[in-house]
Amino acid sequence: MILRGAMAVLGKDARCELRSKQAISAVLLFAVTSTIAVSFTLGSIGSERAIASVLLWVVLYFSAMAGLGRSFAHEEETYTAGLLRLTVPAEGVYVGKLAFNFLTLVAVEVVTVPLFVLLTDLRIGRVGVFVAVLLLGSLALSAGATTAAAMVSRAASKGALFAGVSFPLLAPALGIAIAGTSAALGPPPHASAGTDVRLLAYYCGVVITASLLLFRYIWEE
Amino acid sequence: MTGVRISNLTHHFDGRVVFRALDFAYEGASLAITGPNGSGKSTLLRVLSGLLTPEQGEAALLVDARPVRPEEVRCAVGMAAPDIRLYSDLTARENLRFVLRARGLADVERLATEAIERVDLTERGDDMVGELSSGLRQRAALAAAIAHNPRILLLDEPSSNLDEPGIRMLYGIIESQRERGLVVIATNESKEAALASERLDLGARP
Amino acid sequence: MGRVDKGSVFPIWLQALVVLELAAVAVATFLWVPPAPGFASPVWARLIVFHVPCAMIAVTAYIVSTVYAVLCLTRRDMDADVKSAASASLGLLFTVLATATGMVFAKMEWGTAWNWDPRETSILMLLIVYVAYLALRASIPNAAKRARISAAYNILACLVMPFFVFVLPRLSPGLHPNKASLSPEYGMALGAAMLGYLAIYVWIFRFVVRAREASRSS
Repeated sequence: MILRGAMAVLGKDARCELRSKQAISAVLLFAVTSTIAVSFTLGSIGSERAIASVLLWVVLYFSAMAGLGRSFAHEEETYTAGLLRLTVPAEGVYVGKLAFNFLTLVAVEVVTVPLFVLLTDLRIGRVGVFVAVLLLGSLALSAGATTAAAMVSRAASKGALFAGVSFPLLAPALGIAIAGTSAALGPPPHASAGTDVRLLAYYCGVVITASLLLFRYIWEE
Repeated sequence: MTGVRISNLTHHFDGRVVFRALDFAYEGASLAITGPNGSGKSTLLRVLSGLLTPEQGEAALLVDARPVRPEEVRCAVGMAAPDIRLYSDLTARENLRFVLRARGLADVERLATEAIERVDLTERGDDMVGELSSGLRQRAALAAAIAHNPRILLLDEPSSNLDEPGIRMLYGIIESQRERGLVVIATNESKEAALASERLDLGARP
Repeated sequence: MGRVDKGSVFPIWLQALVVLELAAVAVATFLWVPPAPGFASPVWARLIVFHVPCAMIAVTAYIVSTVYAVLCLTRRDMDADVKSAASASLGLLFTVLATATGMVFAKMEWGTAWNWDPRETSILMLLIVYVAYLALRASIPNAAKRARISAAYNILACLVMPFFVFVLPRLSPGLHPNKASLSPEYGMALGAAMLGYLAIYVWIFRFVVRAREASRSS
């Protein structure tokens, strides 16, 4: 039941988004311009692993902050949240919204990561690990951001509060993702990158499980 | 046998008392909740549907003489209210598909088409809800409430925005719901309230 | 609206004892405890008698806050919510004090006020969690919703904390000294200060809880 509800929410959000293009256009614009700004000011930093991974994740993190904060606020403002509460179990709402936010972030990455690699002449040592850290890091950001968005959905100034509330939840994942990306950019073997992938997986597990258990309390009237 | 059971219901809103130790029991197929604006009609429907948890006491819907459990509400109850709106970026049909799929029902297309026909929305069923007039949006909301053929239908001011044919359609839905199970109508319209076999008047309380 | 009787939170004799004890600790720290060898600025090293207890109580206050948050959700208990928020407010105060004293000490001892040492970073994160928690609370007018959402946030932030253990060591090797190198007078002063600050925490906590419950029931 939860899964069916989640898929219904995902389908509904996808269809609405494809028509209004509200979230994706804002995020994409921000992500692309930030990527270009970062690459422009630094030039070719392909060999500077630490700087490159920090900058990449800073762009992705702020893109998430720009685009994922409104997932629930819009529902409350247009009074469609009641319909959601009546038809989908709370956990299904969380999973559906999480899936949508994750796919949005991945869509942004499909455009910006190649752009970043191109503009900074980035050399990736272990592509598989690089992609794994990217995907798991994005899942981690989406998981925390989705829960935070639900928490601030009724607040007045949602943007600033959302970013502030998200930061403590996402900071560890951000740190691990940056470290993992930095390790993945280097030549093999790099033992620490595997650890980072595992850590991100655990982090996602903890945050998603805790959010599923707590979501009922956050979402109900 | 369907009914409603309210015991010791107490709730505040913004510091004001909405209910204070309200007790009420009803057995039957149609109940009207009446009272002036602000008397708590909408709040009572929200508590009955499980959308709102009261501070104290409970308000339960009864089916086959036992209360509907929270997990069962999703499929057993349908609700239409002014603050429960459909998605404006989707068509009426797509909204119906969503609520039917979310409830885990099969045969989504047939149920959606049936619901659209029952509310006489067939010609505009594939237009964006955001482009519909308020009357047609009300019909679409009714369709979403009845599409899964619930045992219990909760209606909050259902005739608002409806034209003459729309009101006749609404009364037809209320009639058929009485045969299927239970319909609870929160309204100020005396004609609508008269459709019910019993009335709970929230305005009479001090 | 009931007036809160301060005397009922802590008996007068205990209040006097706590104040005297803390005064004694302050005096002892500067007059009796000898300057610590091995520190760049032995005089300023005495600041740790204030810094360490503040930091430990800041963390304790957070754990207390999280425990009450769990109680609030599992028992739907609004009293637990009042306590959770009170502990968080106090925790914020102690965190600010710990960060401030830490920064002064760092400046004196190592030359720069901030170094991204693991402990420094953790206290900063704790500060941010407290501020975010209180800001979240302030944004929700409905009392029941505020209790549930802030409790959920509290618990989530707590669950995410352990992951910092893996992130922090990579930022900087760590500057915080090993405390075994201090003279026994420091141990006594630290222990006494710890007790005193703990008493202050409990005192203010009970006072705040009593005041908020009085205003809630009026």
